[in-house]
Amino acid sequence: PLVLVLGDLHIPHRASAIPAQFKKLLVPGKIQHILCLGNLCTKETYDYLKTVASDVHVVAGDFDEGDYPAQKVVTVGNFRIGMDHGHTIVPCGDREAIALVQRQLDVDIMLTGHTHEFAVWESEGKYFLNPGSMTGAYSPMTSAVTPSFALMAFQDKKVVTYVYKLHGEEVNVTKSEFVKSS
Amino acid sequence: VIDPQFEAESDLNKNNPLSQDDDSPWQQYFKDSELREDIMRDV
Repeated sequence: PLVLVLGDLHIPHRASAIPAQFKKLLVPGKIQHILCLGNLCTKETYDYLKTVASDVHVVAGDFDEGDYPAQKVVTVGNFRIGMDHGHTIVPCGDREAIALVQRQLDVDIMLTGHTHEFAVWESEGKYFLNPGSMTGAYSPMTSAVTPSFALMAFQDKKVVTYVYKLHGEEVNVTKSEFVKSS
Repeated sequence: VIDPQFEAESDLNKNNPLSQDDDSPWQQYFKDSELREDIMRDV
């Protein structure tokens, strides 16, 4: 299955909309699940995500309206996936601190947001991903934000993560792979 | 059905699941899935 991972949209406060170049790619019928790491911030954005895939999971960011949980664990195939926006993780974006949450939730893949900076890394056999900000919304921590999101393709014990970044008018795609050890 | 994830890929901008390029192996993959669904409905 294909899983869309995104977050930190900050519509309408810091960005007016999801970039048209991204919207064009998100045609209905391809993606099975959406994992949103918060700061949408309004119901309109949530309703849009529901048109891309019917199964949408959201954790609450520090600017969200609506009643989302602070953390969530979702199972896709052989993988347990943890979600946490990350504003309560101190220091912000710190890999050790995020690994603590990963161990608490006992997940194979840990997703966080909040920093508006794309990041992917592997540590002690676990996989960590921050999809960055889908709208390139500004952040107090990062001055120039590149809009980005991720798409994970799951198969048996393997995950291929496609990363979509908007540079000017061009969408650039890179990928990363993770194989679960046990 | 060939799994596009395991094909050698030189150009990710073309060969990715959201690509709308007709040459993308993923386009064929989605067409095959639609066909499979149609067959399932028909039998």
